[in-house]
Amino acid sequence: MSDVAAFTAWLGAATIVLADSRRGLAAGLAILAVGAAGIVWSQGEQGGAIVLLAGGVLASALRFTSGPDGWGLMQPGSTPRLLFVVIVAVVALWVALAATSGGSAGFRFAALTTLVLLGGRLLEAADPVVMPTAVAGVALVLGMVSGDGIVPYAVAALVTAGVSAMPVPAARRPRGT
Amino acid sequence: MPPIALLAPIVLPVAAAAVAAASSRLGDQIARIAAASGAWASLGAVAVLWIAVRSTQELSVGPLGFGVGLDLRLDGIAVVFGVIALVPAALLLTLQERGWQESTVALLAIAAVVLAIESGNMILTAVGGCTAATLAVVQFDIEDVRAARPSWASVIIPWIALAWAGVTLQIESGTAVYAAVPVSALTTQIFGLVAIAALLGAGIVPWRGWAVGMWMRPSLRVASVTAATLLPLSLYLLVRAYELGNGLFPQSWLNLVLAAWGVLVALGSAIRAQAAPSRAEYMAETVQGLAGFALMSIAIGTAVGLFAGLILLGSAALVTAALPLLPDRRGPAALLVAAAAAGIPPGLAFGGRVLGLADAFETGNAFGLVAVAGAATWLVVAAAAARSVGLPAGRRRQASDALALVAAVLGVMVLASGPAVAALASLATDAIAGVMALPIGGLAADPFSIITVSTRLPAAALFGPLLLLGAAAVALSKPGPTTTAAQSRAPLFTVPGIAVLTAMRERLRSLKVPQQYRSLFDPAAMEAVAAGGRPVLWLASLVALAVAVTR
Amino acid sequence: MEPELAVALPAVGAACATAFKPRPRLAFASAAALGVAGVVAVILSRADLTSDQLGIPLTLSPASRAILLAAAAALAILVALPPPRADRSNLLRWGLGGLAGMTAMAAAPSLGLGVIVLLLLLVLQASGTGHRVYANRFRAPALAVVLLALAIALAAMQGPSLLTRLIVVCLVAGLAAALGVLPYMHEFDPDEPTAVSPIPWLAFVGPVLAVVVVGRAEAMVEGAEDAFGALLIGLGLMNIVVATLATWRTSSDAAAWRYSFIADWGLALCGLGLVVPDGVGAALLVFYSILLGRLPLYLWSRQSLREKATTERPINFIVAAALAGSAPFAGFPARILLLRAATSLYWPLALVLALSFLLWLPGSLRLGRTIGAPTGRQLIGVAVALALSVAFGLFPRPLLGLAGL
Repeated sequence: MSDVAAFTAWLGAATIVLADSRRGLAAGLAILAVGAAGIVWSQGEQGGAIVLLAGGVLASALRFTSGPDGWGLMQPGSTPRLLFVVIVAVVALWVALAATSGGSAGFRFAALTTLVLLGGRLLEAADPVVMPTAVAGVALVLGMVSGDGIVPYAVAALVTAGVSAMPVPAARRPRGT
Repeated sequence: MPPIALLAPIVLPVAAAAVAAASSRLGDQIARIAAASGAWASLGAVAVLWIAVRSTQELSVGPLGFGVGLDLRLDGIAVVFGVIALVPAALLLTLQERGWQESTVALLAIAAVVLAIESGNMILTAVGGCTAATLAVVQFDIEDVRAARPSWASVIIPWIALAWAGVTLQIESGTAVYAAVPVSALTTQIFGLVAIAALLGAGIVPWRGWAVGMWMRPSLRVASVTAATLLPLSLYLLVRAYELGNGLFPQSWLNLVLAAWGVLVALGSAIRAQAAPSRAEYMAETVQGLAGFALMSIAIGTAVGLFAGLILLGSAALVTAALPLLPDRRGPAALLVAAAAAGIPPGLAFGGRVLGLADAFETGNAFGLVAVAGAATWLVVAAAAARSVGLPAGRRRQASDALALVAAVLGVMVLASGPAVAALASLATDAIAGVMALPIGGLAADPFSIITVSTRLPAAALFGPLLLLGAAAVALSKPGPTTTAAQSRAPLFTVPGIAVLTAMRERLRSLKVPQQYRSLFDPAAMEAVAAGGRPVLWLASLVALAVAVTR
Repeated sequence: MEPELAVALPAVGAACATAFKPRPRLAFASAAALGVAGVVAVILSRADLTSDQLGIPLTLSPASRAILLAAAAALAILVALPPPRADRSNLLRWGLGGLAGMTAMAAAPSLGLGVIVLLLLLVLQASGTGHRVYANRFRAPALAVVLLALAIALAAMQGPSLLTRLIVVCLVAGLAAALGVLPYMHEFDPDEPTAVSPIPWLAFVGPVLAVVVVGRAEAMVEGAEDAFGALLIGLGLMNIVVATLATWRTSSDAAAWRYSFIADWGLALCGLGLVVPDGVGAALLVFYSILLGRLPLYLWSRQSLREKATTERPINFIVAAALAGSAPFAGFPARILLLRAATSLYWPLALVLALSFLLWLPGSLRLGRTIGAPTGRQLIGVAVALALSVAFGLFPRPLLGLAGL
């Protein structure tokens, strides 16, 4: 199960990297939440998984309500981002399977790939909607990697939702790639 | 006397500073009275503490938090240096007019100097010295922010060096307390740091450093207080080094190097003095010249040498107090002060120089050469003093007749107290015995003669008649109005190579990156890159850090 | 219960200050009362006492507790003697929000939870009205969060020693990015309100964050402690040299102040990297002097920075001496402790540090002048900051004792 969850988490993070509008970003966040919750579930923390999923879904819903309209997936000029998504996945897969041990390989892959993808998105983005989405994703992953007992998951879920609920200023300049 | 009383010489000037600051609205006069009272009270407290017990007193309040305790220790040598620093400072704060801000900061600086001298450990001495140096810079800027002053870095370096020496002592021997450091802990490296602190703390350098430059400021209020306090404090460190090394420096060649440095300082000062274009510039060199001779004497490493150094420091203290009180015009006051500083017999400076040079000759070996160089330097000093009489004033500064009279009295005190040098030696014997072994028979058998290695110098018998002759000459002379106009005079001699060195120094200072290469290093562009929040730079840094750590 | 209250009370105070904004007196009174109660809770939180009222064990380490108290004192001084044109309620709102976050970070049982709180603080700060582009305000602290999260993720894995070294890089780079020191300096706009500028990261949140990250790192970098220390020292030296020179030479006075904070951080990073108690003590003293000296002085200089008014009065020179870390101010014992720590480990490092201390002087003279000619409350504030600095400079033992050293 953790392998599927890890792939889902990567897919969610990849969607956040490749999307520029609210629907795409919300979908990415929701998929990431499902993946992260799956990883946590596979570690035997069912309660934590549910809380994390709830937080992620709530954050996704909140993101869905604000930002530029549409999906904005893989818009012209996003080829470097696509390459980035693929390369990170390949490298993270190698690290998770061949270079490291401890915990499940899915956990290792999910943690590495999502953090690097979201970090890259944060460094590259200029849109005021993209930034909190990526940060909300990081909060989810942080909950996933550091959760121990229901409270840390709940805190991560709350922060994820809270970040998405924060008002963001309108974009001042055209989106960069 | 309860040990807590050791805080009095420090606390009293601080309290007076508080009064001076609080009385700012009442005018500067109240602050001036507070300043004078604070300085004299500190001096009085030192005297009372010593006279009451006449032995070392210690106070340990407890750890301060940075590895040292508030350890105070008033022994004989601390009393001597305390008096040498406080007498001119108190005189100057009494006689000079200064604003409440200057008075307040000057009092705090005096308290810091007393703390450094009373401190029982090296790190606390560094704290006191650094505070005094910082407050000196603040005073300079309060007095005249446009005038040249010592660079802050140059007065801070010595105290950082001393702090480093202190912490190294702590690491190597477990303590930096003067009385507890094992003799073997004073290594050449640690001593090197102490020597740097001693030499740079008062700007005792052969070239024209800040210690000379500050005397060229339009006002001499701060320069005089700074010289009065920082010069003895700096040389005090070398005396404490003797205590740490049980009367010796870690290597005997260190004595020779420091003694030679002292002569070089005096020689450099004398060379500049004999070429000075004005009397102000000549006077600026007098204290430095005395400091050079004092260093030479202290560095010899004998009790007589140390005593000679103390005598010269005492002379420098009185000259320092007199210099800012002198008027521009030619007159007996300027003549007396110049004569006192130049070491005209039978003055105190004369006695100190004679004892120091004699001790260097007696020590023998390379110290003999140092003594020869010292004697030659003294001749140049005397010639420069004679030449200075007819020089133009060089400064537009007014000083009242009353102040000129005080300066003259101070000059007379230096000139007339030569015969008392043996009496002073008997007073200082206990203090010197605290840091190094005395010769067999002590330093002074009686208040009239001093015992050196090879002979007994009958100071009173030799200097007394000279004093009487001098007094008779003054009494028989008929001072009249100055008839010759001040005029520029050529230097007595020029040192070959000085002009070349000066030109090279100027060229070095004026070196600039050629225009066509300036674009290679553009600080503004670099700042724009570093502070621009650029992810590319961050990623590159991350890669660099990873490479650095994982290679 | 104290740690929970220490987090909750200032947080509620900040919320009250925001909610009652239309009624400034009520906002101020409620926030101040809750803030004071929060500080009392911090004081009552004993280091040997773990509270588990919320299902997670919360403890305040002595060092964190000491820094929190210093931060609270700095906030109290600034609220009592606010800079010209500053609104007390607004100061309290931002300050209590930060204090709540800092307490939560310090009390969190794991670095992961601490980083989540850091993330929340980052979002809250970015939501304020600033002059910089939103993404630029976000970017560096967000990178810090990602790097620290990566360190946590890597620490949960096993692998070659290279992995531990990568954790070291992520931790140190993450800390540097959060603080905004070189080479991860945040974009800076001199005209931006301080609360939403990079200054709070350097001067308010930063000290606690550093204590938390370095404290938690011990278990994460096992086997690579040397690399961790060396990296902190290397970054520290780079920050000292570049930032002190920039403080002196940069064209903007406000930017010079920012660089001066970074230079102080260089000292603190060196102290933390030296790992011996003297080094940690030095870092803590630098934190105290940042919180209770440099930060208030910077805020009180903002008015004259705006007016581009520089003066050369006695107060300016004394402020310069305090900022330069000269005796008898708080920076001097920190430097002595640092010298001792460096000498005990590797004396050439002490030589480099001793020389670098001189680099503070020219920049500090410049900063001293920018404080202008303070009058009224501002003058009292400057006097209080200087007096505290002298007190801690001559007798830092209570402060270090509070931090368990």
